[in-house]
Amino acid sequence: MRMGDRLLSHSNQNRSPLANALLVLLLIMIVHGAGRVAAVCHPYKIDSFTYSVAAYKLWHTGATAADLVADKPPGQAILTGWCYRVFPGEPTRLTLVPIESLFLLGAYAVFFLIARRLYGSCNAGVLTLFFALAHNIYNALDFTTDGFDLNENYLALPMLGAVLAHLTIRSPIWRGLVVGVAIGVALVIKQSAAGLLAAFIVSELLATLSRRRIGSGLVFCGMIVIGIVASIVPVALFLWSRGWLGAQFDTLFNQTASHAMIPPWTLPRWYNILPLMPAVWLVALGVVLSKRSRGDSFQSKITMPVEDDGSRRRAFIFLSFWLVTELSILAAMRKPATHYYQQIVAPVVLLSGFGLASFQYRVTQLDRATGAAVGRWACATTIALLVIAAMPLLSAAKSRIGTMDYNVEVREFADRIAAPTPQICLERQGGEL
Amino acid sequence: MTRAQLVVTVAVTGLLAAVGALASAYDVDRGFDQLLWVVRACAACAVIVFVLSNDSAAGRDKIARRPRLASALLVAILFPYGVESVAQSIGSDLAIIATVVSVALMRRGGAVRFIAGGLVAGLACASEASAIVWPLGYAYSVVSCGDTRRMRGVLLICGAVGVAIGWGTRGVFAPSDPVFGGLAAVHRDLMILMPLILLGMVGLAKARSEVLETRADYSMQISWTAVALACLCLVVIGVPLDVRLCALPLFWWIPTAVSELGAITIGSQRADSSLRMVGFLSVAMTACLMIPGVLRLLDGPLIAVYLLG
Repeated sequence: MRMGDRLLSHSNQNRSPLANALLVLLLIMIVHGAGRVAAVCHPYKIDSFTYSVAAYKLWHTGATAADLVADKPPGQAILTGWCYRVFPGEPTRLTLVPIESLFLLGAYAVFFLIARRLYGSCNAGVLTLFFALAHNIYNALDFTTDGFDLNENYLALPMLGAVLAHLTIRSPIWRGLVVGVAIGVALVIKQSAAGLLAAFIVSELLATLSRRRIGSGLVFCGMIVIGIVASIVPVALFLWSRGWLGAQFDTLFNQTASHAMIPPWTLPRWYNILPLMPAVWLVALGVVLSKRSRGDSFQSKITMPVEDDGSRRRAFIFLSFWLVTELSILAAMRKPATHYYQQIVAPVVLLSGFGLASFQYRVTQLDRATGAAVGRWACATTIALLVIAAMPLLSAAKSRIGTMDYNVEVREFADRIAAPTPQICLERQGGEL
Repeated sequence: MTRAQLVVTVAVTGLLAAVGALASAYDVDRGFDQLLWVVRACAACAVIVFVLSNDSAAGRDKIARRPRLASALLVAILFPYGVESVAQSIGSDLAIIATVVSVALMRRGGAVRFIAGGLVAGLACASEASAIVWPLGYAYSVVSCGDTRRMRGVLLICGAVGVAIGWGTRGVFAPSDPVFGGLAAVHRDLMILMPLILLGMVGLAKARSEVLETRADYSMQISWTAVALACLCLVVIGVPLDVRLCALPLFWWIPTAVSELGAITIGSQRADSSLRMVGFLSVAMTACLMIPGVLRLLDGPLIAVYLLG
């Protein structure tokens, strides 16, 4: 084993890989649990009631077009409303806790698979922890609304599924089809998934142009369209069968436009940057160390571990495009909501994996003493940033959990169901959209 | 560092910390608490002396004067402001002073100092239950060294008795209420002290890689720090312990880290560019982490102006 490898495993030399995996899994579950508690017990229960009531009404008789959420596709209501038909007890927002957690846990698992393919199991575990932490912080600590039952929580799984398919399936036909289906599912949940779709198309066309295989690129794009149509058609047929299709299209496009603006771009607030600081730190480490390889004054390529067959370079380009599209959407949003940042977590953390891998690779090239010094400063700073990012989430969860009252939840949900639907729309239109 | 230099350093940094302590000793409803301020300033001075007592390096690698001064300055700047969760409680500061004294007595050895150290540790635990971290750390160091002496549990017993006395005599020693302000206040204190904890972790990691860890006193310090790190993890997940008492052993390692940071950025180790860049990045990130504490630097002088005016 090289000196650097021994250094990197110094702190883990007495723990088996299984113990390390269990430790990371435990940390992820703690973060997930704290995030769900903080989101469910948020004092401003706005969006969670909107979406849960819409889901309830969609799956019960007597629903009208006005019961749909005006500015979102009905996908989330279709995916979650069945819980109110299956689970016993009084209907409340809390009925959707299991299915929301399933979607999020599935997203963590898919993220791990993506990261493992790119960077190996050990790094994938760490990056998945970063992803879970940042995702839950942006979700639970928003001041504009509560984070429970938000679209973004259900978006992560199909979007990451599309990314995984894009990175693992070789055949452009099957890759395009699977990506299209996954993106289509994401689009019927929230239209902001269009950013990822744009990233797929642009990065694929550029990749095929560079390899002069335009045909496969066009096939891929074509299959994406077919996959999207295959996902959207059932939902459209459902809406058409109830006579809601036209009304939903009108409100959807009108309300979507009202969310966006041509931005005078402003710097994000510090509390919106903090959750991603561990990932940004890894990126900074990787960039700095990639330019300081032995004997080189500058490297244009990202320094990677051995056995890079070019797929990582393509993944890096795709992830970069994905980040750019998500940042563009974020900058275009009129409302400065923190939960919009959930969309950029996955591309940022995945890109930070390149920094982590580059850092590890560079450390193995250093002598023992230097590598040890580099390693301890990097690790200590990463741990400090992680702890600082996690603390607000954990304290919010602890302070909010005591405010949960099941009887109040039942009563409020019943009141919302009984309230005339136009009144709900008027309340939302009267408030800030 | 000569004795005169040590005294001047403690005096200057202690004065800086005392001014910083003014902010937490003033309450809008109760006014300025002079006793609390004095005790809090003394606790800060005790921690500065504790930090300056770091002798983890020896021979050619002896920690120079400037890293020690820089470490004392960092502690003086940040330490007085990490008190939000124990703002109006004198017990926490008494416990810090007692713990520093107990550690000094235990390090010097001898039967009399051992017993005195145990009694002082008990006083610390009576003032603030979180001070049990020190007896736990000592017991862990003894166990990990395979010490079979019967006296190894004395410190832990003293600490446990102290905790019992403190809980039983609320109003006499008035154990601090760490839930003042809730867990958010505890976490804010941890955030203020995070740069010091980061440097302490690096110093500890460097010390563990050196042969000196086999010395008994360093083994005690390392074990105490290990227990403290575990307690800080508990603080992060929601157990409302006293952050300053939990982080105290980490402060001892700050000069080691600052010395290394100076060497790799502007000193003898700057030959390796990778290490130098990582050093500069770490300096930048540590400086960013200091922002929450630095933003409060004016609080103490403003209170001083108000009181003098």
